[in-house]
Amino acid sequence: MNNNDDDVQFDSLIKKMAHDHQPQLPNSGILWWRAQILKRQADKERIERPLVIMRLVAVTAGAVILFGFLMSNWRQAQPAANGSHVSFLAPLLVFSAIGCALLLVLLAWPPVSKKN
Amino acid sequence: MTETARDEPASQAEFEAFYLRTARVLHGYLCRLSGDPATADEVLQEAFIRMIHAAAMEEAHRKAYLYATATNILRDRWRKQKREREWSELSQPETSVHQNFSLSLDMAAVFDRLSAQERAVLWLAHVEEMSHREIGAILNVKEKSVRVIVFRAREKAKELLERAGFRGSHE
Repeated sequence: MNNNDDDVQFDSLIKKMAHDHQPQLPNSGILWWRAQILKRQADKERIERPLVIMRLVAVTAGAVILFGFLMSNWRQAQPAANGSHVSFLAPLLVFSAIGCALLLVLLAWPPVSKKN
Repeated sequence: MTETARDEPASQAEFEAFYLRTARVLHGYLCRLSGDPATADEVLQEAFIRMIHAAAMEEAHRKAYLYATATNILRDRWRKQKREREWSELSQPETSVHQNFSLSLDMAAVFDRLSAQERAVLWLAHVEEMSHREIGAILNVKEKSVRVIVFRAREKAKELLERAGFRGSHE
């Protein structure tokens, strides 16, 4: 047997092995629709990405502003917290702080880092 | 090879026809390469889904794209499992060939004793009858190197077959 015959025989053996492989394949229709669903999800995520980023920025900025506001008005807010002295600005400060905190919670909800 | 390039994405009917033509052989390739039917199933599905998401292309390119994608997915999995060495270097010990071969010739057993790269090139060259250039593009290997790898892999497989008792003249 020469080398060429050898190659031909080898080739036919590999082809036979491939031909004998008869697996249970997943349904093509299901695969197609799965691909469409994944594509839609990816498109939705892409569209929503700026919104998610802006929400994160808003939450961060809100937290910074609230913190700065509380720090700058700490002297007036402290007596109200202690209950020793009630200034006319103190309740306003406390209610503003609670309002801002609620707003931040609302902005941060639902969690922005939601993953499929 | 008969289809022409088109701008619109492939339709479901077109995809299903292509799937029926290619899925079984691709599954065989992945099975031989990974040695695990479950992995082959998963990689096959992922490769087809990526192909659906990709831009429309000619059938020949689509097939090459599919094989390249599937091979890369499998490679990534191996990389994750820290088994990358197996891809190019690791070959199975040849000492137990006689013990494990059945008397009837088993090409699958020969394939199991080749490295992943050798299995891939032999499959693409003989089953898919791809050119060295196409194989190189799929496996990310130079065309000249593919020629050498195919030759060596074929010789190694033939040697394993002969060791197992197979002689061409007996067939």
